[in-house]
Amino acid sequence: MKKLIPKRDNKEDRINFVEYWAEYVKTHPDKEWSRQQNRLIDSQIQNTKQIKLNREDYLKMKKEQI
Amino acid sequence: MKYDTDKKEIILDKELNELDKYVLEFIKILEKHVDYVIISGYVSILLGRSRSTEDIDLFIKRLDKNKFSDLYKDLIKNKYWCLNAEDSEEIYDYLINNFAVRFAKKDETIPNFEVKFPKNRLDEDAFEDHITVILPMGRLKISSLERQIAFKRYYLKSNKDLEDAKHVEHIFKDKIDIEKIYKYKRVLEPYEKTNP
Repeated sequence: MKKLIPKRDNKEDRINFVEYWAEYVKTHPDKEWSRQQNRLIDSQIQNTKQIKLNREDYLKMKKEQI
Repeated sequence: MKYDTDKKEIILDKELNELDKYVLEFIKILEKHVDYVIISGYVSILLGRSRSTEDIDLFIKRLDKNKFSDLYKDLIKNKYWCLNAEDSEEIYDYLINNFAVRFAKKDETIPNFEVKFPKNRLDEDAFEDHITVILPMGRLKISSLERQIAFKRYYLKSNKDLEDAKHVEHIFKDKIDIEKIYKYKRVLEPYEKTNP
């Protein structure tokens, strides 16, 4: 895989990383990239379980209060 | 990840995360009652994008009030709740009036499933055009990759959406029908969404 070259602009740098990661996913076994992706997703799910957001507040936050 | 464009199947031998398991569990109940197709952010995440999400968007085919009531009862039985209302008829009215309704595990808010009826021909096409993703523990129907890219790039257009489109395009660039993306682009242009 090519090395990740840093970009000066934040947006450009993010897109650069998206392409880098997509190339990683494309060229590595599913189990290998998914193990790394799971660390990110599972930790976020664990965090959300700590935040007790009731449905009224959640819908208000989403501007969907009916 | 193997994409067979003729069969419209992606074989994904990934280790499932909590979000994947959550989706498979919900879909197992949903598909007993109605056809569905998953759209938007979770599609990119399922296909490897390095981010998470608080909601999983999906279309369900229009169904009558009684059938919806059976689905709702099954969800309640399996310890889900609707964030928008508790009465089945009220929830159904939202759907019929083209509102999306959200379901989550009882007493939780996120992650949740944002469920809606298709509201036009373009939405309905998502069902005919779907791809089946075959995972180690089940199958999921997702919208076509071309549709996914076009909606993210030409309609939703936030940084996150543009990155999602880039991810899917990069992974499947040899298998994507570019003309189909432009066809969607032409259809979507009149509905152009302005992001905050």
